[in-house]
Amino acid sequence: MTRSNPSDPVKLKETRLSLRDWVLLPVLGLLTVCFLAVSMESIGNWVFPRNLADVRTCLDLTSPSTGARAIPNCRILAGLPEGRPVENEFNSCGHRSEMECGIRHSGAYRIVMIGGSLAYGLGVNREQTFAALLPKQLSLATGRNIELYNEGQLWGFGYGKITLNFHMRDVMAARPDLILWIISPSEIVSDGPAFVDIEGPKVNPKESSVPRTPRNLRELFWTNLKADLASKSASNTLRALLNKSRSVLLLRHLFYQSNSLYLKASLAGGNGELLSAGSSEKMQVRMQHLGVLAGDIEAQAKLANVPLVAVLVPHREQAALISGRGLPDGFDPFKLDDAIRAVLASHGAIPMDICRGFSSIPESEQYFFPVDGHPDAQGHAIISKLLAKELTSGVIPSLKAAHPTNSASSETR
Amino acid sequence: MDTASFQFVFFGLVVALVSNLSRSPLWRSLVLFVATLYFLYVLAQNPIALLPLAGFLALGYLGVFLLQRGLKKSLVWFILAVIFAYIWLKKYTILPAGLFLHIPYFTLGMSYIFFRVLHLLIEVGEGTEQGTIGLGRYLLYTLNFLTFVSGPIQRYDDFAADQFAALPPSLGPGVVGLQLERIVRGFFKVNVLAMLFIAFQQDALVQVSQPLPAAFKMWAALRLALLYPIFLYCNFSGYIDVVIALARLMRLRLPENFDRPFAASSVLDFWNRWHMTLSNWLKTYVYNPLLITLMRRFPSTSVQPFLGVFCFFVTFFLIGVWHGRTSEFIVFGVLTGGGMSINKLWQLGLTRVMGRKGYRELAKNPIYVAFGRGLNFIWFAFTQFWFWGDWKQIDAVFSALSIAEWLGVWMAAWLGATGVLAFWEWLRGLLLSIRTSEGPVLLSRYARVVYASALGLAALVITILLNQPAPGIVYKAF
Repeated sequence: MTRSNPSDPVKLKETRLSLRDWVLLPVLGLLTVCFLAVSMESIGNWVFPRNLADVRTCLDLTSPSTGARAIPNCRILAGLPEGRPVENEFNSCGHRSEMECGIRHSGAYRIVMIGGSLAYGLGVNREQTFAALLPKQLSLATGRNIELYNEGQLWGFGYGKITLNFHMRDVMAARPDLILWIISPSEIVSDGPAFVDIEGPKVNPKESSVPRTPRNLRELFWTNLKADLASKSASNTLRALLNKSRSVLLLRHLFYQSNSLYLKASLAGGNGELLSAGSSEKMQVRMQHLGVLAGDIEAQAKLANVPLVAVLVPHREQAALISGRGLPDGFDPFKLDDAIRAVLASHGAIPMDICRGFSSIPESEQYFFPVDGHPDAQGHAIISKLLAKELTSGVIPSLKAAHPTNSASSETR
Repeated sequence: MDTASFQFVFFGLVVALVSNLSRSPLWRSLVLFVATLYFLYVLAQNPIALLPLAGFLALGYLGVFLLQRGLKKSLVWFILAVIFAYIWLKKYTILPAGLFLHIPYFTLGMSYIFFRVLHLLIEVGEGTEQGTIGLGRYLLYTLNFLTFVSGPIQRYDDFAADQFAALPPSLGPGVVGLQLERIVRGFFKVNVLAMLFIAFQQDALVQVSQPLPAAFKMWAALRLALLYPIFLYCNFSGYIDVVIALARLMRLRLPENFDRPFAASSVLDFWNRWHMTLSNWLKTYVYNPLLITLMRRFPSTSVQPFLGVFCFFVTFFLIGVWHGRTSEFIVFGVLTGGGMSINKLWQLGLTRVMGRKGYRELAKNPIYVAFGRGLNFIWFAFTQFWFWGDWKQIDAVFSALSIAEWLGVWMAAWLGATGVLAFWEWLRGLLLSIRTSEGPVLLSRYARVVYASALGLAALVITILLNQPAPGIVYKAF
């Protein structure tokens, strides 16, 4: 049998540490930590440069006369930390649409799209968003002239009843033939603006929980740090602090190339609850909130005799679960979609399912920004195909395909 | 607590600190005993679940007790009883399912206790172990929380020499520094490297069965094959690093379990470097007695080399089978034993053809060594399919590619492993050749502080980022 450690230092001469070493060794350790932290942050900044332009500069979230909206005709080059800066250009009504508001081409079938950052096309150039691609594919499939007016809101959808009313006024003013509501999982799980104050006009814009756009990065850092310290535990604060660094963004971006690593980390966080196979009280409350919102939107759509189609578009973790093999125990990627469709149907909206379409796309999670979770340009192309396929499947008679659309998987690889 | 988690390391450091309040063997043993009881309580939660383990220990102690009283003839019966009890409690499928206990009970660590108990029985029975082993010493040795989960398997006399010595091994600042550096290194291996490697291997496992172009699938198959051995090494050796260092801080020297196994240029050499305490245990208590018995039975000198081949097969087949209770591990055992036997036959054949001197020259040739290293690595990687996979997974993986594609994958794996390992050995040699009068710069306390700080920071940040519990130690399941 193996003898105990023959090279153990007990058999060697135990050298005494000199006074110099008692000082030098801790200093060396500290210097190593500092050097690593600084060099990693520098590399992170080099790979993902901090973009001083903040798209929030183009937003006015506190206007009492119009509700939260983008500043008309504002234009800014800004993007996600992981992506390249993209052009964010708003029309005279503050919408990211290539069409001017109030103008409708005669004879065209008009879809007005509503939703949050996913519908907005965060991090992607406008011409690459599914908002831009979908009407072309629908026109091709139906043989009709179809246009899409994008009213997706960067700051999330359904931000209080007042804003919703302002928003729906804009939607109806665009004279839609169909309203397409894009729902994202982050809006369901968010405790933020998406579903707060849904019951009534309680939000005082001046005391809104949405922070004032910081003037510079230092202000942004301290504002967020104060908020973190006030609301989170020590470990969460440490995690939140780390999340603000570019080196951590770089590490996450690299690690999250691995589907299993990404899923484990992601599902251990808040999104795990969203995709859990079980049901929780919290999720039931969220579904009730969604139901209230759906009821409000559907009521206004019904008044105008416009069909409301609603669809859940998956985020990265859901796509990864759908197209991966060997699901982790306790998770069901389709449960959320089924629950949302049931809620929407009960309020009169027409629910659509594109989540199952992701199962035919190998490794579909690679078409999303790894850390942020929004789809990239290729992801938008896939979503557009899946939406076109569903919309032309006969669920909306006037959009029934003259020629069936290709499957989304042909876009990949 | 059954892995190299923050909690386990913190617990170990606190126990080491308390243990060092006095050098008295009684105090140190008391601290170790209380820490072990607490460790068992945390793991088992329910004391009732520990009863079968307690029964197993009692059987072993009864044997030791009676053998110490001179009942030497009972040795074989006690060995057989302990082996049967182990197979029964671990629910090996060779026994009918109706025989098993159908209540939930605690078996973690039982494999390593089994080896320690057998070692004690044999040593006491053969009169090699002269000292009296009381119940307290027996329990401290068999249950020591540091070696409980995954070893290493220590000899009793080594344990006793340190644990019960009036003058235990010294613990100066230099030794403490070395152990802290080793804890950080082990923690990093388990919580960062192993976690990343197994994640990449799992990704490859998913990709190889997906409807992707052949080139993608071959790349996935290559990663699937090569990443698992590296994961397993980081996972197991990292944990061993942590427990050896914690034990040393408690003035207890544990045996090394790894000696750079992927530097081995043959399968025979590999098993001298991988899970050394297990393979040496089996060599001591299976290979040597079996070989001696067979040589007595077949004294012909022309047959004797082949007896060694046979004994290697039996010994390493048992190592394979020991790892699990299902049929996959029988294949793993056949492949492990077969690899050893074929390697031995290869040595015998070459020696016969080239002569001893010629073979020795060849075995020193750097190109032969490099290709041998690569071949050993991919052989180990190949056998690991039956280690990590069940039949369904193995079938899915192997049917995902054609035979020609698999041949291409293994050829690429061989060449790749040969190149990477040769480069690694060259780089290591180069770095260690940078020396001062006190030895290689890379092993100086200054260099150790630098890389321990770097690894510690990386481990802390990555552990927080990935937001996952410390990965389990694979070898705790056996």
